[in-house]
Amino acid sequence: MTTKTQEPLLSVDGLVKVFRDGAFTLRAVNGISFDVYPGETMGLVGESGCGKTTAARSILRLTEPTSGHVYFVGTDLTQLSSREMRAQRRDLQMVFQDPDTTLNPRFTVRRTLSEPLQLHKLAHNGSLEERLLQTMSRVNLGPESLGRYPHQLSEGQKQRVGLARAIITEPKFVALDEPTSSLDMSIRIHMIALLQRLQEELGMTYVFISHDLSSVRALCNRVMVMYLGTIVESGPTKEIFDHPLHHYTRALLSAIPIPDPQVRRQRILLEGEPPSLFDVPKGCAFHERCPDAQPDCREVRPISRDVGDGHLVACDRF
Amino acid sequence: MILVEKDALLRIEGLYVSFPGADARVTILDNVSFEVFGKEIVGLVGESGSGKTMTSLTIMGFLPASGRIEGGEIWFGHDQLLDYTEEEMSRVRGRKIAMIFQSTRSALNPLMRVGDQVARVYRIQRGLGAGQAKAEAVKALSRMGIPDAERRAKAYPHQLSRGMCQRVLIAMMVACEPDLLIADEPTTGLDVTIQAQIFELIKDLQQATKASILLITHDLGVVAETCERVVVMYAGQVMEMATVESLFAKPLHPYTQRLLSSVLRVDRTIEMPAVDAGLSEDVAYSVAGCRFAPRCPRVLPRCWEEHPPREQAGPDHWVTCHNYK
Repeated sequence: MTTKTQEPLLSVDGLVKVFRDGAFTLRAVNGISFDVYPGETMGLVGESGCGKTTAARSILRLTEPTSGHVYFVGTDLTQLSSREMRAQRRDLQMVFQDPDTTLNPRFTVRRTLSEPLQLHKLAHNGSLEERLLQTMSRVNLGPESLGRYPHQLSEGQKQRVGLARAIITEPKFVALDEPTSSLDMSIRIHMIALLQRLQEELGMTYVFISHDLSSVRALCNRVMVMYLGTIVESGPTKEIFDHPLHHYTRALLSAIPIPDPQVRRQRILLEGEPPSLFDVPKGCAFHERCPDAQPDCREVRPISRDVGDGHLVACDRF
Repeated sequence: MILVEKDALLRIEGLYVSFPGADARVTILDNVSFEVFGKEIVGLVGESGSGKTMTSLTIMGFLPASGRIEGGEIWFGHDQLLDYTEEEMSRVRGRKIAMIFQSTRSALNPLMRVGDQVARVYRIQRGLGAGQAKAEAVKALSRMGIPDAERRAKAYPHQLSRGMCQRVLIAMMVACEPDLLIADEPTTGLDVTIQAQIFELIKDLQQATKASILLITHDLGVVAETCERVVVMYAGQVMEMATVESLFAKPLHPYTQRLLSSVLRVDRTIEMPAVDAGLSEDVAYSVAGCRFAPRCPRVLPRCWEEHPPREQAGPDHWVTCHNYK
């Protein structure tokens, strides 16, 4: 668990990512700021197109951020040369959403996992094999899978190869992009348990990106809710899930069916669909769908404020 | 169709379907039996490889060419669908049984305006004239909660969001006025707030049209909130069948028990299990008896050899297990 007296491991300050293509401007990440403390798991949730994956990619500079700063143990990553950044990657890893497009189909698992070790010169004098076997066992894959190609593996196995590739350098920080979404329910809970165990073993800090809120509840200490490129609410997981304040968070949580016929909840059905990122509304990004929008909400973008215990909400109307 | 009280609308009896495997043919539906009665929503639930989609394709007569029906019966009212010719089946499809597929966009014609696609159903299935069909189509789209339906009817599928495309498809199915609607993971790829809208729509339509719905899903939350009864499948076998209340309160099959205990919930923090050393998803299609035997904590010697009979364990609760008591 974290205490706020610690220095954050990662500190994101006013991160913006704008994509431009001719006349079109897409504001995928519209000024987000947050701290992640050592050993914690920060959830980043939201629906497709809200900018959560782009945010993670911008933090790791897999996509160059348009503006803003990312401090990793005091170093501003956005100011590093690409050579300096490459040296940092040993400690900053990402597990990608779709193993089918992010594992090289022509590489065996052995080659996929060896590459980061060779790039960071972490394996010498025959220690490579030992490291490979250790990492495979950490993610519950048998050594026989080392010689296999991605198409010879199941969905869950491919997902764990992607995880193995990220942790083989023993990084301090890992961004996990939807690592459970493609998995069956009974496998999903084991993936979460595995991520927890690895975190304890290796002392890693996670940002866990997901639209699967039940996985987020099981894994994360804190959670941030993103809507159209901005963080609308954040705080301790239990607080956000049990006492959501922002109307978007409330609707999002109430939309998720509970696997228990005895539980009957009031569902908040949102009108319409999220507006396009090409055309983010002025004022509060959510006002067009908000059941409680006021004239002010159309004009002024609400400022995030602390309502106690680190629970932040960017809404003036709850 | 006239149905006698408690006569099933759809009755699947001992269905076996095989596909070519690496060495021999693999039985991917192994003695599947269940019923759907009138005016109810039944969930067909299972994980990847459980055979739930293949079951629905077999009902519709859409089994891929390499698939072979090895035995069993599919009764729709008093008609045995497996005896039907392709021409007879095509009269059942749409009019009596309609299906909503997983991938919405590919189920719509990309070159045709969505309003025309809905109107076409009214012309072919209901015999309306062109003008009247078009007017009905706009009305139907509007009933599906599509705002500004008149204008949206002129859009092509790529101009609409996936959620909107799903509403268009549902409008087409409703236009057929089927007795049975098969919905195969109808919200795959949709965001949860849109998913909630679609399920509300499906429930409302079921109330309004009195059709029965066979809802295929892997999401136990959706089952708990949408269905009245549920059929649990694993590796091509039906493991348990019960009312939703009975199944969630008292799951009897060890597979169902494991499935329910591994479900993550958004409304509470659950105990995490010890990491499963195997974490293997390989499904045991080769077991002659119960296919859950390799993973079952209560496996008996005969489970490997003998397929358990379907036993009644409660008023509306059936289980296929040698050792459930």
